[in-house]
Amino acid sequence: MSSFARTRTLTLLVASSLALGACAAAEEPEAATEETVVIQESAEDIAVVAGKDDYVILYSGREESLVQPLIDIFMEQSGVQVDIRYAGTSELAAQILEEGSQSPAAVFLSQDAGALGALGDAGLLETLPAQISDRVDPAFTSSDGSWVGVTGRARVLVYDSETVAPEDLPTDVDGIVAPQWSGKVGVAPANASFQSFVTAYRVMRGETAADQWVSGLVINDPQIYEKNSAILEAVNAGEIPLGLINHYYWYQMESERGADNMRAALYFLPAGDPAAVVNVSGVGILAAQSSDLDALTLVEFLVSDQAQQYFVKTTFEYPLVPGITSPEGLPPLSELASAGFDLSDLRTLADTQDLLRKYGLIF
Amino acid sequence: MTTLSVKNAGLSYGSRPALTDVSLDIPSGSLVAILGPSGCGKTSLLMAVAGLLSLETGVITAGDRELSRGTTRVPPEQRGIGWVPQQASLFPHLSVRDNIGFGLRKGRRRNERVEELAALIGLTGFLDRSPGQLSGGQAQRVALARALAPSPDVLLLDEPFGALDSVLRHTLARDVVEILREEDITAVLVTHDREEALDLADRVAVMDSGRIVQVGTPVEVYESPATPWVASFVGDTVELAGTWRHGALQCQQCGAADFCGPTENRPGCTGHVVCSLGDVAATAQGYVPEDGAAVRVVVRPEWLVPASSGISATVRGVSYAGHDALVEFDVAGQKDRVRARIAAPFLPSIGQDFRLALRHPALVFPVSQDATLA
Amino acid sequence: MTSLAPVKKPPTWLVGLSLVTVVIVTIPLVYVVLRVSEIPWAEILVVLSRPRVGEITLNTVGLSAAVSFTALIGGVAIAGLVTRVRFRGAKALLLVSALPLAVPSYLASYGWLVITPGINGFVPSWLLLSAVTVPYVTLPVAAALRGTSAEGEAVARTLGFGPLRAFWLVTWPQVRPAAIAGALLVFLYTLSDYGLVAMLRYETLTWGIQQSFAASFDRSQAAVLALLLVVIALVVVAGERSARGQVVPTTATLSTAESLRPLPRTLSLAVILVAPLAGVVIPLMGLGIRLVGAETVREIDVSRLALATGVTVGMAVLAALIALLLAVPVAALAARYSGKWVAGLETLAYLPHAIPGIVIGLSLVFFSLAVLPPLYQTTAVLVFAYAVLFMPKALGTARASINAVSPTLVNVARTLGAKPFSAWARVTLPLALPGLGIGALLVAIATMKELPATLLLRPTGVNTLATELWSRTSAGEFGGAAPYAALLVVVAAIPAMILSGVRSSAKEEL
Repeated sequence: MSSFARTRTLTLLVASSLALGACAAAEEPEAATEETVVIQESAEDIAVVAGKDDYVILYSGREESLVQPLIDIFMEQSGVQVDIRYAGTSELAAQILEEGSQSPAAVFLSQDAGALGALGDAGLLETLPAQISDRVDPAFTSSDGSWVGVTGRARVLVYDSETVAPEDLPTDVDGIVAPQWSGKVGVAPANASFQSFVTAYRVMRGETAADQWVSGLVINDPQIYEKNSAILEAVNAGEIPLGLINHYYWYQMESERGADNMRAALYFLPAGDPAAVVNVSGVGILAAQSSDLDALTLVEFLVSDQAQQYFVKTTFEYPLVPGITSPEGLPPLSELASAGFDLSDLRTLADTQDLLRKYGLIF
Repeated sequence: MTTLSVKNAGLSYGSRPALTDVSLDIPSGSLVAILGPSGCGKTSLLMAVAGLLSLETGVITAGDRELSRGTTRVPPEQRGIGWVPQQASLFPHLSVRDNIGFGLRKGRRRNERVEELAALIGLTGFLDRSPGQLSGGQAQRVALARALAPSPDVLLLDEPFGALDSVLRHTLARDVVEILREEDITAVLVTHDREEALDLADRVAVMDSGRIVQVGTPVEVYESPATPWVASFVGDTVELAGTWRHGALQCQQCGAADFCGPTENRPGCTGHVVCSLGDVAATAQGYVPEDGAAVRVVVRPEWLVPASSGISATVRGVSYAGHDALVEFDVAGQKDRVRARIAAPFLPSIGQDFRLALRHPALVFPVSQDATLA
Repeated sequence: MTSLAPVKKPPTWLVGLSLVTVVIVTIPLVYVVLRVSEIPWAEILVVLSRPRVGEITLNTVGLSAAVSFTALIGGVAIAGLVTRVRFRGAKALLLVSALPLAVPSYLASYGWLVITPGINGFVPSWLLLSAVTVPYVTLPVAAALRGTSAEGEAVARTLGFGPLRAFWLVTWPQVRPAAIAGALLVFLYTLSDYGLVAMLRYETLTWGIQQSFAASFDRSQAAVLALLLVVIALVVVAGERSARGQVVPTTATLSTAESLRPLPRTLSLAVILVAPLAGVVIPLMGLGIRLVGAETVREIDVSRLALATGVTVGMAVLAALIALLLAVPVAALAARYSGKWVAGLETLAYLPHAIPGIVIGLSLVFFSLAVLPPLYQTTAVLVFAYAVLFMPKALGTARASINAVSPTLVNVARTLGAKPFSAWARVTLPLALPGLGIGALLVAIATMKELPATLLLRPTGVNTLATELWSRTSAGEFGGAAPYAALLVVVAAIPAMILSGVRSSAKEEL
């Protein structure tokens, strides 16, 4: 009977796939064997007695093609085995929040500061030792030492070079909500980088002015996108002429498509403008694994000169450690606005979100 | 070998009663036909006997063994009762061999038994076919063999020949009955086909609307029906109105004396009745009417025969069936039409005058008796 | 003759097994309720009363309803045309019509955006989702139609009814249960879809859930929105039961595709090919264009590709088996028995299908850490998540195929001495197997494409084709992503093609 012959074939397929899948999926992380464990409360004592097992699990909200080569270098240099879990930053943050003290992760590399703030608020981050926190300019790292900034990314305008002349671009942040850009500006209001920009506006120009700007934006029929890369794609395809994104996305696309194929072009607003605020990506150590010395070694590596130069070279992001040259062709970090507030402060963020919610940009 | 006995069985589907106070004895080794129209409950009765349905009230026993009492029942797999459903219902995913052998344990004995049964039903070369490759009759035979394989004490057949053409039906039915007799199996056959019931069964139970209306031999049920409804269901009838008269019919030429005596299949005449056919000898079925009372008279067409001493009638219609014809007559001076069965080939033509006489006691029923038993 | 029995009570062991299934699949629901209960009532009401929440809820319901409707009409039409119009390559056509199943919705939307940048909003979301989900209706309806004959329709035509009306009067009642069950799956799927609507910028509840995680890291607010999705699903699942109707057994003569010519051949062909074109060809073309313009076409790491493929296929097979094991008791219960409890169990089993993958993933993070920590981030939990998430895809076809096995056959088996379970295993199960196979294949395909729960629950370092694809596209490396995308579609197309060929043998009984 044909249906039975088919069933038999299916069973064979099933059996062989099972075997294949079982072998493949059997890649479990090796169980870490701890030698000595002493739970430290204060950051200063961390170095005294701690476990060192040459193994650490990293949760990375930054993509594999960027992080893996860097960590490979680390692994070779330090002899520490790093197993990396890649996913979106907010998903990983939600996962860590859900895992709580049972999280197997020791280190969390985040695409934005907000996620680190959320973890910090939940008491899941371990205060980093001064030797790490002090390496980074205080404007670009946590105010309480719960996380440290790794790279900086500037907020920029991206515009369609085929339809917009550079002279017509807005010269400051208020120009973005001018009537001539009605329906033509792409924003990603759910994104942490947009929200920290609005927060910067609030801090720099005051609440009333910020309120006015946001309402002006909404009246101007903004085009809402899920994330920065989607805005860039849209501008590059000629869908919209103007967008607010982080600078390094442009470089990412250029390396993929080739400089000749980039229809979208970057425009940095003048220094001191809230729209030129710098966001950071950062890293923190989870408190549950605070005794893991290898975690510290990894974090130290990420703010080391070597790693910072890697980022500059690979993604054109700003280094946050003094003495490293900024990426070529970009305005120096000092010229751009620093946020003027703790980028991970969720309370501040919450206020910004209330403002955005008021005008219906987010829920 | 046991007698299967159903006593006071009752069963409903929600609010609709399917069986009401059904009692039936099925003697060992006999074939009992349950005859009735669609929806009369005969399949429900069969399924209750098989153990596929629970009763609400009543008892079913096989010899000493109680199979169902009220809502408790022995499960079907423990009853040793075989079932041949209405449409063969062979297992489509199994071969004929595996269908027949389904109820047997695996082993050499099973193979032998399967082959034995295949020979019995005349399908030896078909064992490796699949049910989809069989014709209707072949499938029915396989279904029978399948039910017989575990050597059940009782076999239940639910309208097994319904899907077959008439020629096939007849030959297959004969074959099946022969097998049942050879294997000495008690059988219950459910059917709505009266000819089938009369031909095959040792006893016939007539059912209507969930009740057993009459049980008897085929001849009893045919010649001496308990109600007009049974009469009309089991055979063709001619219905007339009449007036009852006590006493035996006095006539010289009607020949009543010849057929008025009691036989094993019917009681004798109990009086006579005046109706369109004249004053004829009659049997009041199961009761004694008052003299002069209005009654219902039922006769069968084949009891009306051409006779020079009979009543005058004119042919109005002929329903030809090859071996005979059902001929419709206008009775002279009456408004009734009667039908008589006239044997071929000497058939009358329309408009022809005829003389008819009754050669069997007319059946008399109360006027108020409904088609369904009150 | 159907055996209309007086109301039967289901056996205890069957109810027990079904309860086990239901308890297992309601883990995500329990999680959602738990998270919602953590925030005070006042806050829940604040969230629910935000006008934007009302907006996105309406968007969600509107989109799901529209997509289900189009998928229903389209699926029935396509199935009808493929089985009734005499095509030379009818089998191949059915195969092609199944292919949109193999394309993840996020891939379809991405491909379209390459070809027609700027499309967004309701209409593209509606049309594209319809294209990729219509096989959920087409396949079961085609299978059901194969089991019927065109005789009844032919009779209706001689009585003066036009082809559409004849179909509606005669054939539709026979395929209605299959069609409605398929439409239900489409509805639930659309409720939970995130990738496509995010890319096409149509704001639904899943968008809101994602925003709750991304913007405010607020799992409780996300849970409130997820609960809204569950409520919507509840209403619809309950509605499907009443719309499902009785399965009308047919006295089918075995001849099927009579040439009834409801539509001219070329038009029929066009109708049949619309969904594969929109759901497969154009997206792949878009991907191809990206690939051509990419400077990061790295050398394909074959071993990595092979590993991801192996993981994908292996997980899919395991998930399909477990989903089937979970589905069968509930399906067997729902197929043969009726009553409030049975209906309730079946409804509960469907609900998790409406919940987005990220919430399912988080619920299992929570659950596995609470109950069996050593199993956390192992293949076991991930496969379990797939089974919980996709089991409803198997439930409908399992129920229908068990239902299609005539009770008479089981009764005959009982009279031949088989105990109830033995009768079930020897008669019902083999005959229902093709239908069960369909369910398993649907689960397998869905598992291969799944992304958010996989990202959360996979063992660290283990990747499926979907996660490899994601990791490259999120870095903008479409050149590097292309082989994974292509392989994903190819691998998922295999069960889709098998699906189109599975024939229910239960109809062919004598």
